[in-house]
Amino acid sequence: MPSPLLSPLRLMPLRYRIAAAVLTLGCLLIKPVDARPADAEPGASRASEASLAASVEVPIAAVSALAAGSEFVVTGVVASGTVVAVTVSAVGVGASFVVYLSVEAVKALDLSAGHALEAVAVSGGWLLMASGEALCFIADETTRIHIHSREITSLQLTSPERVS
Amino acid sequence: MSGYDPDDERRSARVAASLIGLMLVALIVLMSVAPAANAGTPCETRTMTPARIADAARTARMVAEELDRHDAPVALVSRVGTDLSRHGLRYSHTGFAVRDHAAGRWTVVHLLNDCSSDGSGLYAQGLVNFFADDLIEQDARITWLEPGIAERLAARLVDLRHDPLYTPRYNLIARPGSARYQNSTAWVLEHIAASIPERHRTTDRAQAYLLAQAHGFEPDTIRIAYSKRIVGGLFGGAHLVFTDHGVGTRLGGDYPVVTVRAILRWLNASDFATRETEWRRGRRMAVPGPG
Repeated sequence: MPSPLLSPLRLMPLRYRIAAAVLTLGCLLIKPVDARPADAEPGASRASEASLAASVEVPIAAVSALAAGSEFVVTGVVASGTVVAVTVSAVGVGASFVVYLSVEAVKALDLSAGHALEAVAVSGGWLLMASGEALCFIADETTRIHIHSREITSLQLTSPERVS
Repeated sequence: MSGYDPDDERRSARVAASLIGLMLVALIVLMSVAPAANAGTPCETRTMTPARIADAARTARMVAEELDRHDAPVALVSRVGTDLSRHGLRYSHTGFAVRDHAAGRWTVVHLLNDCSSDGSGLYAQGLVNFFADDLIEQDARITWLEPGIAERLAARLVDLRHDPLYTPRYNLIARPGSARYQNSTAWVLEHIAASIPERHRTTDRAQAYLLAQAHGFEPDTIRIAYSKRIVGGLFGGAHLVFTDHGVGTRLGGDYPVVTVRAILRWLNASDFATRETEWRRGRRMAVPGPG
C-alpha cells in the first residue's frame, strides 16, 4: 500500500515530480555565499578611495589674490605621462601654484600658456574655471583646516586623497 | 481515466535529464565564482569633480559653524552615502566630530570598511573629507549628546590607538552584539553606550552592547531576501557575512542591524541626545526627520 504522504505526489505526472525534486535539490545545494548583494546594503561605510585631487592647496599669496579678485592665467603646461602639470599665476601678484590635470582634460579645454582663467567664489573657497569648466577647487583658510585624513589604526599618514 | 503512458514517461525522462544537466552546470558555475566574490571587490579610485568637492566644503563649513555654536566636546555627525530608502532609512553612516582632536578642530573619528577587503580601519578625517565621499546627497545631521556622556566619550576618542571597543573584522550587516564582526554603526553605538556609566570604564564590547540594550536600544530590521543573497554572492564583494546571524534569521531574511536610524531613535527616546540639527538638500530642517 502506498504511503499516504507519497500519494499526492503520485497523482502528479512524472515530469513534474522529477522537476520538483531537482529544484528542491538545487535549493538545498546552493548555499548563499556571504557577500554583498548589489541592492541590499543597509549602510555603506567604505574607505572609497574617492580622490580629492581636484582640490589644490595654494600659497597664502595666491589665496589673498583669489580673495582680492585678481586675474589668473596659465603660465606653464608640462605633460608627464597621463598627467599634465598646469602652472597658474595670479597676474601682477607673483604668486603661482600647480594644478594637475589629465591629458584629456587639457586637450578638451585647449589649455596652453596665456590662457586666462576665472576664479569663482563659492562657499568655502573658489572654483578655478577655464572656458566655463571647473579645473579645481581651492579651499579658503577656514575650510582648509577641515581637509585631512589619517588612519588611526595603522598610525600611518594616508595621502590627502584618501577619503571616506 | 488516464493510465500509464510510455510516451509521456519518455518525455518526462528527457525533461528530467535536461533539468539535471542545467542544475549541474549552475552548480559548477556557482562553485567556481563564489570564492572570487568572497575575496572582495576592489574599490575603483574615483576623482571627485571640483564642483562636488565644493559641495562637500559647503556642507563641512555649515556643520563646523553649527558645531562651534554649542559648547560640546563631541557630537554625532551623519551622512547619506547610499540610497537606503528601500529600507526606510535616510542616513547610511555616522561618526563622531571631536572638537579638541590633535588632527584638527572638529575632526571626524569613524570606522570605515577597507576598500578591498573585509577588514576595517578607524579614521580621523576633516569634515570636508567626511562629506567628500561619493555621497548621493549632501544631507547632514548633527546630534549632540548628554554633557556627561559627551565628556567621557571625547576623552575616549582623542586616543584610539588601542581601542578595546574595536574589532577589525568588518561586516556590513554585523549582528548587533556580535563579538566576531563590527560595522561602523555598531562601533559608534558601543562607544556611546560605554560612555554612559559615570565611574566604571567599560572596555568590553559585549558589555557595551548590553549597556545599550539595558538603556532601551533596539536594532532595526533589514529585509534581505534569500534570492538577493544568491545574486549578491555571484556579483558582490565580501563585506556582508550572513553567517554572523543565526539560521532562523537567515531563513527568514529579516536581519537585525545597528543602523543610524536605530541609534538616533535610541538617543532621542532615552534623552541621551540633547539637541539635533539637520540639513536636507541644503535646507535646514525645522524639525529633524527620521534617520
